[in-house]
Amino acid sequence: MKPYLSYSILLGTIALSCAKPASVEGPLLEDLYGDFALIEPLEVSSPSVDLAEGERVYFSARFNKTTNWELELQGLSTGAVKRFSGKTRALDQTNALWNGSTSEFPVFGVETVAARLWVPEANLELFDTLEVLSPKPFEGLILADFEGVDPVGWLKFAQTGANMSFARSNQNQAAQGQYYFDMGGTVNWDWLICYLYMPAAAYPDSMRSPNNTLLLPGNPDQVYLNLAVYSPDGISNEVLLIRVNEDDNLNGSFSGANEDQYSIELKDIPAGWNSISIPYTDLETLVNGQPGTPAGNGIREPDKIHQVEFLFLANPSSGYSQIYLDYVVFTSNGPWEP
Amino acid sequence: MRISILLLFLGLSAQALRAQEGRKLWLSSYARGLISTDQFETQGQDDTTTARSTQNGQALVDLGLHVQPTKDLEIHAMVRIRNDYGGFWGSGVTLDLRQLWIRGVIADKIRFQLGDLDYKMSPYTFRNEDEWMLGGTATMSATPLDMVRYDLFQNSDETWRQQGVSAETGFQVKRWIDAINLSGFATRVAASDFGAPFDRIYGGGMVELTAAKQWHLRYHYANLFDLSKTSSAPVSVSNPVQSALLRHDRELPNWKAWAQAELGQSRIRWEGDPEAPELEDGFADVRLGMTHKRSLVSLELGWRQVGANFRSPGAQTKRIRYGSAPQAYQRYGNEQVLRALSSYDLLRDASVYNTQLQTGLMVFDPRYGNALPYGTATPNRQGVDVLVGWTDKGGVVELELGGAMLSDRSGQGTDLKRRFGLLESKASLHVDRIFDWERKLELGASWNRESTKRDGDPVYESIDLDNQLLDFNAEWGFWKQLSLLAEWRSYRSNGREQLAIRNDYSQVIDFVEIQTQGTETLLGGGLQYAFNTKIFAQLFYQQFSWEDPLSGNPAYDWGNWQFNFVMQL
Repeated sequence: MKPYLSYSILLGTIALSCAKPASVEGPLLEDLYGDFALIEPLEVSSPSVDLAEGERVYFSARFNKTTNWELELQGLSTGAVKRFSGKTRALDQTNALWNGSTSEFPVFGVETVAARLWVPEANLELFDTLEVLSPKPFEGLILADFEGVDPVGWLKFAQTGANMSFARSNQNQAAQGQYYFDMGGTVNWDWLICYLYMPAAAYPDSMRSPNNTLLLPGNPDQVYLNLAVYSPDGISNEVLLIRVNEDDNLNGSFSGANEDQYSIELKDIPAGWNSISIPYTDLETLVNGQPGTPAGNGIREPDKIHQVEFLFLANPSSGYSQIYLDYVVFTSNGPWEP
Repeated sequence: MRISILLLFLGLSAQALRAQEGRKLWLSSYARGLISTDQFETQGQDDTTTARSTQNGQALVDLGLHVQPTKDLEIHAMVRIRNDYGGFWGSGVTLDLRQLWIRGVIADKIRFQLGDLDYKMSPYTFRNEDEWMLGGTATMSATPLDMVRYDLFQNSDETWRQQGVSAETGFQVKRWIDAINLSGFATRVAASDFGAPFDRIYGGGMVELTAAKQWHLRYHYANLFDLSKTSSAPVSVSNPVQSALLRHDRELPNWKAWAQAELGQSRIRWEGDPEAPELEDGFADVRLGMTHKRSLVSLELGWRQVGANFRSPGAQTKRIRYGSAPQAYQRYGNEQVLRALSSYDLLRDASVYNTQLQTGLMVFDPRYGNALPYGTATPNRQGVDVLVGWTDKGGVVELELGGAMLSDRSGQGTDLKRRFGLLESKASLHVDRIFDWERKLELGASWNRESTKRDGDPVYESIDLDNQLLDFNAEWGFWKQLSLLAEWRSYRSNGREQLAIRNDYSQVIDFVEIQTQGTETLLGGGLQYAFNTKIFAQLFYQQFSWEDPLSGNPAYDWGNWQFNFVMQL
């Protein structure tokens, strides 16, 4: 027993001693306290990108230490902005890969994009440009982009108030494309200013079922309603009520008495274009703005959406109100990435 | 209170018990009285805020009752009665149960102990090692320190005081091996309140095989873990450690020699926390020792390697909580700055001591021990050490010289590794034995030094920290049992270190620069009257000076008159 045991212990000891130790414990001191130096300047992987074809570009740069950095891409025509940030030693495909998405509306079009890399610690700015040959296509069930003629079947109503606007418009920058839908006015006798209803029946067969429900997954956890909403400067009384009517019995129509209607109110919308993604599960039954009991089976069923309704409201005593609406789209398995 | 009444009743009934069926009952006790006067003076300013002088003291008695109802069973309970001076007719008196245990032998085979127990295994699995900073204490500095150690069960045999159960047994075997010894323990480290904290258990044991009386193979296992279902908290910890140790003893004509190798690994994980890492690492330790029979020179050589993620609560838990503030003169100066822990506080302030095993790695102060802050099992170390000792047969001279050259196993914050140098030397000379004097005259000296160095960028990477402890002491029995005591103790910590800051999972997440130029001096003298080896009284004065210009805190002087009476029976 003696030699076997002693040898095995000694061999184990030697084996452990030869084992490679962990590289470095903790963050690198150089990253914490060392002086910053640029090793490789900002570069873009391709001078142009065809986003519609699924092309991507990435930006690269290299530093001597782990550093906070911010990369901003700005469309010189649309003003669209995409931001990246990180705390790394390098920009590369893992942290600065661009697929055409935007952080701030509008979305990128066919245009020149200016890239600016900023390293706050060294107050260093680096620049580059690239050309977008085609915009990024969007995935999902698009209910409205307001670029062409409205689908036949949309239901629209506007009060006869003062300074009313209720039409698609291109007077200002759209969130996507050229046009958006302008909803505004002063109605001093009613909360409702105008509404826009989008029934499933107004869409082609490829987007709806024979029962006139939208072709969406049945699992509400997977479905998101996305839209771009613009609030002009100085407007703070806006209320956008979104309602989704489900045809629970699949009879081709909706009855508020015995079928589910799920809603959400958007208030205090920040000025400018806003990207809004609403999980279908966040929609709830509202009665006069307060949570209520569903009239139907009480089950959120996106595959039974019969109609989507946008009602623009404001307190009648609060005066003029206005919003723009653009790019209404349902996505599955996650919110959109405009 | 009920227990104390019961004990009193038992005490009064002692004679009756003794008379019945041969059952035994006896008492053990410890008593001390202490009167202390502190005088504090802030240097460099007219400090009108800090109390110049404070007095305190206490008298306490530990009364232990031992009952042996049968020859193989013993019950022990100890109560502490303490009266802090300043109370009046009993106000300020506290009465606590200090310890309670039952031990015995089952069927002449299994020894067990229930209640309070002291336990240890190897230095990597379960060992309560002393702080480097507290080495080389002599009679005067050791007296308050020994009181703290006694009060908090910081035992000199490096055992941990725990509460639970332990058992051991052994077998004689006729083939291959001589004997098998088994021991195990299970202790409760923390109690659940049916809310957030879990019941935390520390358990384990040891198996030892002995062959040819020279070969010993031991397997150690220890695990600190939370008992699931005892708390609603979502995260529970478990930290098993295991090691195998092989030792060979050899008797040579002129030498006694031994060789030992220990190898082990640990794993710590936080179940229920998806963000938590699972840390797993190991260690290896090889050691050779020999003692020359005639000259009594002993030599020990060792080599160790401990992984950066090796976590062993039983071995790495520190005696001192360096994150705590001192109790005496916590703030001082006109600006009432927080006073940093000093070497003097470590000698006398029980409130900064830790009594419970901790998960992860406790905070330490590199000024007071940087090379091996977590003892032998300090993670992320590798290197060699040596220890030479000599005691002459006449007991005139005792010499001890130890050293170690260690380095990081993984760089901290850089590829470059820190290098640690350790030197520990101690000498005592019994002058009276040289000249056959009746009166005792003993001189002692110790010098402990450790250095930490790392090259690299001078701005943020290089490190150079030097800690040095020097102690000279003397004891002269000039008249009957009356002795004169004197001690000079100096501590210096100079240089710079990047102290690792760890997160809740004991992983390094940041560094903080420590710059120090500290000088601490303790000078004292006094008298001791020894009634016998277990009872003595002391009267002494100590003057402690502290300064560290780099700390931004004012220097101070701290004088202390102290009268002690200690009796241990």
